[in-house]
Amino acid sequence: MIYLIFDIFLYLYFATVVVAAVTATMYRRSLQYPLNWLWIYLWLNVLVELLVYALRYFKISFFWSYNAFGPIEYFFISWLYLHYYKSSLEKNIIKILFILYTLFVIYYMIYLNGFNEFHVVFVVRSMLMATLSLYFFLKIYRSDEILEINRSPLFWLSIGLFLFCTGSIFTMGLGTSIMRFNSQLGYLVNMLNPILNIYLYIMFIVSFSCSRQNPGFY
Amino acid sequence: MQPTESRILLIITLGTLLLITSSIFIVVFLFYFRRKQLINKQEKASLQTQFNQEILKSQIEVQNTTLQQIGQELHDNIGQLLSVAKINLNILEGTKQEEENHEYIKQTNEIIGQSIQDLRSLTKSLDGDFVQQFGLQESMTHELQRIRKTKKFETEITLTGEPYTLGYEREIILFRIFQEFLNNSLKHSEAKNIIVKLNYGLTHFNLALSDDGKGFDYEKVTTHNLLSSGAGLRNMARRCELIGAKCSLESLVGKGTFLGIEVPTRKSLNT
Repeated sequence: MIYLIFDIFLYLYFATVVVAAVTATMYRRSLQYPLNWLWIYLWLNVLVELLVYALRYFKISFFWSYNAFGPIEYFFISWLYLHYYKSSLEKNIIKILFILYTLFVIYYMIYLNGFNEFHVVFVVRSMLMATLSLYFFLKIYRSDEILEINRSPLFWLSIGLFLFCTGSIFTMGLGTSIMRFNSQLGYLVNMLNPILNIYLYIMFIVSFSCSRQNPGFY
Repeated sequence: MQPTESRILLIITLGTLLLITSSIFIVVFLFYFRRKQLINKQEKASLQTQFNQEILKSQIEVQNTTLQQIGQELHDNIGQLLSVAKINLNILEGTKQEEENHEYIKQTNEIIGQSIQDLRSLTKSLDGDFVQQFGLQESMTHELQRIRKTKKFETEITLTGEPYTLGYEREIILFRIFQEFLNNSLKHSEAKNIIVKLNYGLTHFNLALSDDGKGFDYEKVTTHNLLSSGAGLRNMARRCELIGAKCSLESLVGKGTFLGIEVPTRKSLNT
């Protein structure tokens, strides 16, 4: 029963990613830069999921695909924030963090069993993306500018990313530890993963809708 | 409890706390963020109002200065020339002339004399210091007298209550609004009678201006696309806002025009 529910959530998650990718593609001409490039990231996501499904079907290790996709995902998300921040210091920090993370992933995959595990890479990426979104919240809170949150795509993306990343730190980090002691309980905790993903990609769709309402604002 | 179980429990507790904390953080952040945005919006609106008021004040100051300069020029240049012309005519009047010529010289002398009087009167109405020196009621009376002299209009000014001063800033603005109203009545309304009522109440000062002219379609004038159309009316409303007064204008085609201004006194502002 648990496995059935888990499968249902997985299919729902995949459907949400596809809907988000289709939405991004349909609206890409009316979306502001760099939102109009997110369709590439979303379709790559779909491809990665299809690849993982195929590898699982043939009982081949698939964690390396998630690890390899990690830096690409981080690149797209940090690119959004890079465009938002005006200060050169902030931009440089984002660029440096991306380079460091990519090097870490390569090192992990080659030297630290990265082909058979991916939760460490995932947790590190989640921490970085949670930090980016937290910093964004701090910036908009401190700013004197009037921000219509109903029309701010990056705001809704940040809400999605923050909750997704903090949840993933639990499911991927702590949940994997539970798996060692109690595999069923670990499986239950891992069920949160697709739920968090569904939530994240719904926020993507919401952010695309916001951008269309007010194309002059990023 | 087995160490493994306690570890699992600890991990689950930590994870749950993490998720709950994140969710609460988002809710609390949204609450405080909306509150801050509201404060920012109010501050921005207040700054905008202040800015508009400063712009309007500057415009009024520039206008007052310009009018004063024009008044001064009229008095110094035209006034002087007319005075010299009058002196020459006085001299000419004293010389031996034919009866017919003497009559023309006398008439011209009277006209010049009248022009000098009218010019002096006009200079006073352009000069804002006149309001400061003699007060609002006196300035309005003087202006209405000037219009009555043209014999094209009948004017009436009534006063109720014990007069008090509203302060130079407010009185000069009220005077300029009054002049704008008169200007419109003289140029456009084809009115025969202009009535001014001043009511010095305890909490409010009321100024009522009315004419029996042809009136106008108020809605049409203020929503017209032409830049100049309705500008005088909008100016009046903005000036009223500047001194914290309430302004109401009523006009119907064929029914004349009425302008009512209610200015709170300093006492009512302080309570």
